[in-house]
Amino acid sequence: MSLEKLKGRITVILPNQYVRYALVPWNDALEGEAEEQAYLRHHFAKVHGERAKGWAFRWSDGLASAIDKHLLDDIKRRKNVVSIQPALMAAFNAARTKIPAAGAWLVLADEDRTCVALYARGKWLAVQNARGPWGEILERERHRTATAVQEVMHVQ
Amino acid sequence: MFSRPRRLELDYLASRRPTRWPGVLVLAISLALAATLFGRWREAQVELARLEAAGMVSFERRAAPVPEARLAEEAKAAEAVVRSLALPWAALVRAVEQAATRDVALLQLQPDPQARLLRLSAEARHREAMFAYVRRLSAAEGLAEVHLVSHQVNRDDPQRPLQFSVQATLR
Repeated sequence: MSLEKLKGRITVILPNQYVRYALVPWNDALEGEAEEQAYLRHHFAKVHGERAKGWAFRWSDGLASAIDKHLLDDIKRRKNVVSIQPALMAAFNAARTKIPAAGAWLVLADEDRTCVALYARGKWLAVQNARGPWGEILERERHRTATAVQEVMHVQ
Repeated sequence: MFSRPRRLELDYLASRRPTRWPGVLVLAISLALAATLFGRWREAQVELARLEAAGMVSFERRAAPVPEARLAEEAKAAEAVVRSLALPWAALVRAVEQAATRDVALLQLQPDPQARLLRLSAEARHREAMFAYVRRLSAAEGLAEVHLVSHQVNRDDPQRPLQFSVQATLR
């Protein structure tokens, strides 16, 4: 794409502190945006309660994300913003061709927050986005999922 | 056989799938059902109020105690939302756009309010344009400690533009 075409096309990457993730199986009976949002809201509300009412959701390949609607509206006001991506989406898409066939733990370590996600055999098998050092959070998730996947990829 | 992982599509500005008739139908039925249930609930409320007023029944209303841990968690969540909304997105994008020059295209913005950092990536026609852009960013309102983190020539593009990333502190 030429420089002229790139101009005015800004992608905003949302840091993980503003995003919640969850593994959500798809339901083929869902039709349309409203049902999809209601279904995802139901899933997030099971974990986060009433707060999920104020969130906007996205789903892709078994992984769902939630962000605050006010924050989304705030960013959308800028006409040059053409893409708003959760940090895990940007990091995974940049690294996906390097993920080994057996799968890998993806680690996004911020200053005081860590997002770890397990992608193996073409599926998302775990995701955790929490405060704390990445080593501890990764170990906790490894223990919880009891997986044989050893590969750890630090992504950004 | 292992196939290359598909892209993760969680973009909040990407167009969504169009609504189809079965979905609309299910939604309409759900709404109708919800309306009926709401109507019944209202009737029951009115009837209860009438019985209570007539002294035929009495209810002890007591609010369920909210666990302390949940209150703390909610306070923390509220604080996070306030912090996120306090980040001047519009002003931030404007400041970065104003620094733009004819020879530079901004590609990506990645703010981290917790660490008061802004990372951005852009593409420049040549080295001079890249350095000029970094200098202009340094002068932009709201940004400090602007520095070039990495740069490389995009060899896939016949014009060989420079892709670079910059990190700045949010003031």
